[in-house]
Amino acid sequence: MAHEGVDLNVRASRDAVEEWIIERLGRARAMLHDAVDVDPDTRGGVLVLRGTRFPVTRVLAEIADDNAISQLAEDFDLDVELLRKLLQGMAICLERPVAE
Amino acid sequence: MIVYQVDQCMNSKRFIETCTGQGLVGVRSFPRGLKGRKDPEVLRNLLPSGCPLLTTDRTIHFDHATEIPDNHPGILIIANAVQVATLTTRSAMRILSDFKREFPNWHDTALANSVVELTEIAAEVWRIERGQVKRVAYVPFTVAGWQERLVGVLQENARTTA
Repeated sequence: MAHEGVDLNVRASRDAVEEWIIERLGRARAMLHDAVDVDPDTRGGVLVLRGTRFPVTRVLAEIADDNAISQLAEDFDLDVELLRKLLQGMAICLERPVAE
Repeated sequence: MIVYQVDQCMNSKRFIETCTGQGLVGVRSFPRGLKGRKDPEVLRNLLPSGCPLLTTDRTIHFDHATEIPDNHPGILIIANAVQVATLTTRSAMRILSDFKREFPNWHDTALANSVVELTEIAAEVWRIERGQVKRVAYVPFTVAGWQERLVGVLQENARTTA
């Protein structure tokens, strides 16, 4: 009986993790949906910041090149909140891809 | 003086100030009204201005050749030769700076009717003929006299009229 109790606890714990992951991914998806556009006729179909022609890959490369997002927003006249949303959405997606 | 028109990906205040600060070329910032607009609309709006378009979009001429008339002010694409690195403002400025150092008369060279991809190792040149992309030349910077060859290719394209 004790053994079955442990199994039930493990299952409940896994269910909670999966629920957590699903909720987090749902939130990330909503954030990325707000932050990103993709259209085959804009920059050849690469992901761009929503409402711009500025590739998402470029955002990441500029940050890797020592540019803060506030600098990037100022320099390119981009919406800093959009940049934050993009990075936060990506961070959540990369946080924990699968349940253990 | 040639005045370049930047695409939104090159619409960096730092980049524009650096380019215009040398006093050799002018640079127009990207029009706010075209932010987020599709490639065909951007090409239709910017090319008639008579300014060569400066972009980092390596495939814009292949993707939208029919939107580029045979006679146009030119498209200059800045790109990394190393495919694993994504271009940044800093690397674009380094590519341009190296190019200008090796080619002091660059600013007098008209790009009319040419699409030029400039990397740290070479310039590749195309022209558009009735909506078709024609590769004209690949000019590696390791070959002696590449500057004259590039000027020759660009002048030949500039003379080509529909």
